[in-house]
Amino acid sequence: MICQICNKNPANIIFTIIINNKKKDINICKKCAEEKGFSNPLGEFPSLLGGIIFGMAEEKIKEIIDNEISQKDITCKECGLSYAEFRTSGLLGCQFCYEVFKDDLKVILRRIHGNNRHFALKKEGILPEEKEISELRKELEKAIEKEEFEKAARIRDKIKYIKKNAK
Amino acid sequence: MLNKLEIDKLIPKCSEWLNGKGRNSDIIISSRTRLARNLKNTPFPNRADKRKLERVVELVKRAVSNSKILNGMKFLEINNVNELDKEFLVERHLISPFFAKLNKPGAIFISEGELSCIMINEEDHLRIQWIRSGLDINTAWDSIRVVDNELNSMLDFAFSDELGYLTACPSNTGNGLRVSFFCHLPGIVLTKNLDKFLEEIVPAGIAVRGFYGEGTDVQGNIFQVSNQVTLGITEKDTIERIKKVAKKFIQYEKESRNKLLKDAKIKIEDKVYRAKAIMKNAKIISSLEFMSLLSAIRLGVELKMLKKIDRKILNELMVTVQSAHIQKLAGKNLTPLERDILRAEIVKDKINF
Repeated sequence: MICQICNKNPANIIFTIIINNKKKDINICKKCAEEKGFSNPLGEFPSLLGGIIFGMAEEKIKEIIDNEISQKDITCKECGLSYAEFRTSGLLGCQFCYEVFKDDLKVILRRIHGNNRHFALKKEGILPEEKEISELRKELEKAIEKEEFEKAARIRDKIKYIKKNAK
Repeated sequence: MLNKLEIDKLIPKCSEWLNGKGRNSDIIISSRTRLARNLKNTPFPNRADKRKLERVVELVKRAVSNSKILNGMKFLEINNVNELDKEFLVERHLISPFFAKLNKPGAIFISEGELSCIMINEEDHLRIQWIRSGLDINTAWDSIRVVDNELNSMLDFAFSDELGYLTACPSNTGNGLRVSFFCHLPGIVLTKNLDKFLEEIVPAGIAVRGFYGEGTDVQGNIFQVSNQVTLGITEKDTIERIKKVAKKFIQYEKESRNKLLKDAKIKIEDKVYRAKAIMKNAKIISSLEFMSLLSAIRLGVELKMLKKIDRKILNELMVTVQSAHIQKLAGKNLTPLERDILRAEIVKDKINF
């Protein structure tokens, strides 16, 4: 067995990674292992796909993983996007793709965002105060433009007041 | 009833975000927020057929015209727009280079002053943007939220409790929010500290790019800085992060300019006065050369080596001497040489040294 990273030296270390609950062994040589920091099996070693970049090693391992998953045969029934198409374009075809390609997306989203759960504003919308402030800001700008500074000051105070009470 | 956008009417005016006002506008040219949204139960633009894409346009159009807040926006179907006009819209940052190349049913909505714009059927069904002059991310965010909220109340967006807003590209999933700013960093570049700066100061999850976004070159020392993470972070935190980064950029750029003044004043003066001499006298100026001259002039004005030139004029030139703008102004297609000649004339006419 030749090292799968440098393709030169004989591989004497088996590096195991688990992708989508599937075990995958990568055979590497001692030199590559040391260079890429895989040598200490007890050392802390975060998930390779967790956004940690290991230069060449990462590229190589990605390739191996890509080979592994390119054999997958899933297609989104809603929009017809196949797994291979998704991997090539990097784009999903519809909201249902998120369910169909869920396993891979978990990994991809983690790689991009370091996270795979959302924590954004819910769709409850914005508070009425914010809407009012936004309107007032527009008025404020108009007032400044027209050099109506007294009016501008009044609007500014009103914004301050709304902000204070909203807290 | 929505008013149709007439591209030719945009020519004499310039986008308001170029007016050079706002905080730190000596370094931060503009601030922008952008949201990616998709309609529920409709394939994303890359998988939707013509009929479905047309329906998306129709639905958004209806929502916008029914909204008191939004119905002042002007509307334009993008498939009827010719190549030159598309390029013109790209140069004004109203549409993306990617959108200009698509030949599918799509549309844009543009607000008065071009501060806000909605692209329909780009990579996602809706791409909403707000741009403000100077460092003003807060207003750009407050304003875009109003638009988003308004559309949200009339359209059903694809949203999952686990992942947030669902977008065509996983890089936008979550809050779908991209916050960015354009900045002019001649100090950092001239002190040859850019690489070090980018490596050491720019935190992970922040991208630095050229003037026309993804995949474009840096021209005239102008950089676009934006967040990359949209999942697992609140919109507020994204904004705070970008604001923090912007402050670092400003501080570092200011320090670099001071260092230049201290250590290499004569070299900078030489650069600035040479740029001035070329702008005043040259008969042919390419777009790339212009951007680099403009950077020197801008620096010269900020460092008071040149007499004051309104920032608005310098900002606007960045857009108005681009290829499509020059041709729209001339009212016909021009060869590259003709453009370079006209560019030199416009510059001379606009800047009063």
